[in-house]
Amino acid sequence: MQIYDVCIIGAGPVGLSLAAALQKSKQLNKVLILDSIKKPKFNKQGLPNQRVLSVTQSSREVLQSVGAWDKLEQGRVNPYNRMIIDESNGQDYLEFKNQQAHIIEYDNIVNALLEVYDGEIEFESKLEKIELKPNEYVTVNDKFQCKLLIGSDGNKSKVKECSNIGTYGHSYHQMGIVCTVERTDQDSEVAYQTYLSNGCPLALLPLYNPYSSIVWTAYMDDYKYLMSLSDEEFLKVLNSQLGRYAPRIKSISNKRMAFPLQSLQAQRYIQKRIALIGDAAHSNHPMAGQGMNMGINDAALLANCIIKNSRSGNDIGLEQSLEEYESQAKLMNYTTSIAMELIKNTYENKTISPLRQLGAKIINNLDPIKQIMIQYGSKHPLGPSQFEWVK
Amino acid sequence: MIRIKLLKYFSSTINQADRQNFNKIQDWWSVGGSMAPLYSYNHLRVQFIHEILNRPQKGKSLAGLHSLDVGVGGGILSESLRRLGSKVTGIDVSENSIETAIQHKNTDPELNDSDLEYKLISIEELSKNQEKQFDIITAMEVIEHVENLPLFIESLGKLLKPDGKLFISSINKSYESYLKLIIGAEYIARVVPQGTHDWNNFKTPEQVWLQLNKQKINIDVLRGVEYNLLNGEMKYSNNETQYIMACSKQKME
Ligand SMILES: Cc1cc2nc3c(=O)[nH]c(=O)nc-3n(C[C@H](O)[C@H](O)[C@H](O)COP(=O)(O)OP(=O)(O)OC[C@H]3O[C@@H](n4cnc5c(N)ncnc54)[C@H](O)[C@@H]3O)c2cc1C
Repeated sequence: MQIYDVCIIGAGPVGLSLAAALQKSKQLNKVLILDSIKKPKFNKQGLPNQRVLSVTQSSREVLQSVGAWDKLEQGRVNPYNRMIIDESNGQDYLEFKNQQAHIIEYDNIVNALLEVYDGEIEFESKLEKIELKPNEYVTVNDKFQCKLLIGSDGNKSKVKECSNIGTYGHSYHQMGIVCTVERTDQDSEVAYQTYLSNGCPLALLPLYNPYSSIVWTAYMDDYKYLMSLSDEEFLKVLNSQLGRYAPRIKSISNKRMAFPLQSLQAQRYIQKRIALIGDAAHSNHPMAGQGMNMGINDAALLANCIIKNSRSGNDIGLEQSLEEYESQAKLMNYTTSIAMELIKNTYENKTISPLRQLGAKIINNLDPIKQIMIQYGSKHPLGPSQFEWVK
Repeated sequence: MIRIKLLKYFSSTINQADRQNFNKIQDWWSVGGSMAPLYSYNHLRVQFIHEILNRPQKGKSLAGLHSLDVGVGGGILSESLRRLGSKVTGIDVSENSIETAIQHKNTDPELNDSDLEYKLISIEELSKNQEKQFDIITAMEVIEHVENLPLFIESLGKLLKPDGKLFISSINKSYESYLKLIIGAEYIARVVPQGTHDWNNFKTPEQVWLQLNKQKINIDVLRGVEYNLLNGEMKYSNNETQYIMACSKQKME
C-alpha cells in the first residue's frame, strides 16, 4: 500500500493553505490532497461569485508566505479600510478605520492556492472510510496509508465523524443568505453592517467596483420569505433594510445562496494520527466574517507544528507532536468565539431595551471588545509569530 | 539473565536505586505525562546536534551515521535520530525502559527494521564486547543517574570514533539545581516524578570535564538550557543549572 506523510481531505482555502505551506518547507516527502468536488474553474472575466471572504492581515501574510497572494486575480481583490456598523433602531453608529482587510471571492483564493501547490491532488475523490489499527498508519478508503490525516473538509467533516470526535455547540436557527449586488456608488472602500430591528445583521461587503456582496442573517421564516422573492422584489426589500449610511443597490447580480449558521466546536482538534482544521474543527457566526481567517490560522499553526516535529525526527502523527497545535489553535478560536458571542448578544438583547438602545455606545466604551473587533481586520496577537516553512 | 550478569559486575556504572525508579515509570509516551518536558526538550537537543555536526536540519539529515544513544528511557531521542536517517543503537540498564522503547518503536512502521535496535546492557559491558565505534554518542540526562563517572566516561571514549561527536546533557550540582529541580520541578510543579533525581549524584560540568580530559576528550561547546514553565519549551540560557555539551577526541599529533 502506498504511504503518504500527510493526507489532506478537503481542498478549500484552509486545506490548500496547509498543503502549500508543507510543500514550501520541502520537509515532507509525500503529501496528497483529496476532494470530492470537480476541479474548480475560476472565470476571471465572469460575474462575481456569491461566496466571498473577508481576508484579514494575518491571513494575507500566510497567503503571501506561500506565494499565493501574488497569484490572485488582483483586479478582483478589494481592500477596504473602513467598516460602519449601525442599528436600524438606534441613533449611534460605530466606525472602524484602518482595518487593512480585503474582500476576495472564495474561488479566487482557491484558484490562487491551486496554482502554487503542484503536489499530488485528486478531485472527484471522496473520503469514505478510515481505519486506524495499533502499530499501523491510518488507512484511507482501503487504498493508501498516511502518517497523519488532516480533516479540512468543512463543517460536515467526514474525518471528524470517522474518528468519533464529538462536537458541541448549537444552531442559531438562522441562515446566512449571500449574493452579489451592484451598487449605485463607486466607493469600494467601506463595508457596512446594519443590525435590523430583530437583531440580525445585514452586511454589505465591497467587492471590486461596482459590486458588493451581501450576507444577510435571517431567522427561518424570514429566510424562506427572502428566498421566495423575485430579484426585483428582493432588491426592494434589501434597499429598505440597508442602514442609513449604506449606498443603495441598483441590481441583483446572481442567484441567492444560503447556509445554516451555527456555533460548533469539535471536542478535540487532534487525535492519534488525526488533526482537524478550519470549519471541520469549528464554525462560527459569519457576522464578523472570521470563518476562513480562523481556519487559515489553524493551517499556519498546524504547518508549523508538523514541520518542527518532522525536523526533529519526531513521529508527526503522534499526539505529543500535535498537542502544540491544538492548544494554540483552541486558545485563539475560543477567544474569538467568545468575543463574537458577546457582540452578538449585545445587539440581540431584546429584554433589556435600554441596554440595546445603548448597544453601540457600550461597545464603543468597552475597549477590549473594540480591540478584538479591530483585530478582525488586522493582525491577530495570538497568531503564529513565525512561519517555519519560510526559514 | 542479563540482569544477573549486570548485578554481578563488580565496578559498575549502574545506580541501583535510580534503576529501580526508572523501572516504575509508566508514562514515557503519554500525553501531558510526567515525561512530557523531555518530549519538548527533544527539539532543542536535535537542533544542537545538527548545529555541532554542521548539517542543515532538513530531510534525512543524519543519513550515513551510526549513533549510540546511552540511556534511551522511552526511546524519544533514539527514534528521532533514526527517522533523521542515522542507524541507531540504544542502550539502557532499566528493563522497563527498554521494553517501553521497543513497544513504542513498533507503533511506527517506518522504524520497523534493524537500523534501530535496543539493548539492555550497561555502557561498560558494551564497550567490552563491541569492537565497532560510533559517529555520534548521546548521553542525555544520564550522568546524573550514573555511579562511577570515570568508568562511564572511559567506556564512552572507547566507543567513540576518533572523529566522532559526543553529546552529554545533565543537571549541575548547585544550590540552584536543588531548588529548581528537586523542590521546584519534582515537588511544587510536579512536572517530573518525585524521586527521579538524587541531587547528591548530580555532576558539575567541571567534574565531567576532568574525566573527559583524562580520556583525551575535549568539550567543544557547553551551553546552559532552561525549561520555560509557561510555554513548556526548552531554550538556551546563560544559567548552567541544566547544561548540554558537545565533545570530541583530541587529535593525535
Ligand atoms: C454559501 C456560503 C457562503 C459563505 N459566506 C461566507 C462569508 O461571507 N464570510 C465568511 O467568513 N464565511 C462564509 N462562509 C463560510 C466560509 O466559506 C468557511 O468558513 C470557509 O470556507 C472554511 O474553509 P474550509 O477550507 O475549512 O472548508 P470549506 O471551504 O468548506 O472546504 C471544505 C472542502 O472539503 C471538501 N469535502 C467535504 N467532505 C469531503 C469528503 N468526504 N471527501 C472529500 N472532500 C470533502 C468539500 O468539497 C470542500 O471543497 C460561507 C459558506 C458558505 C457555504
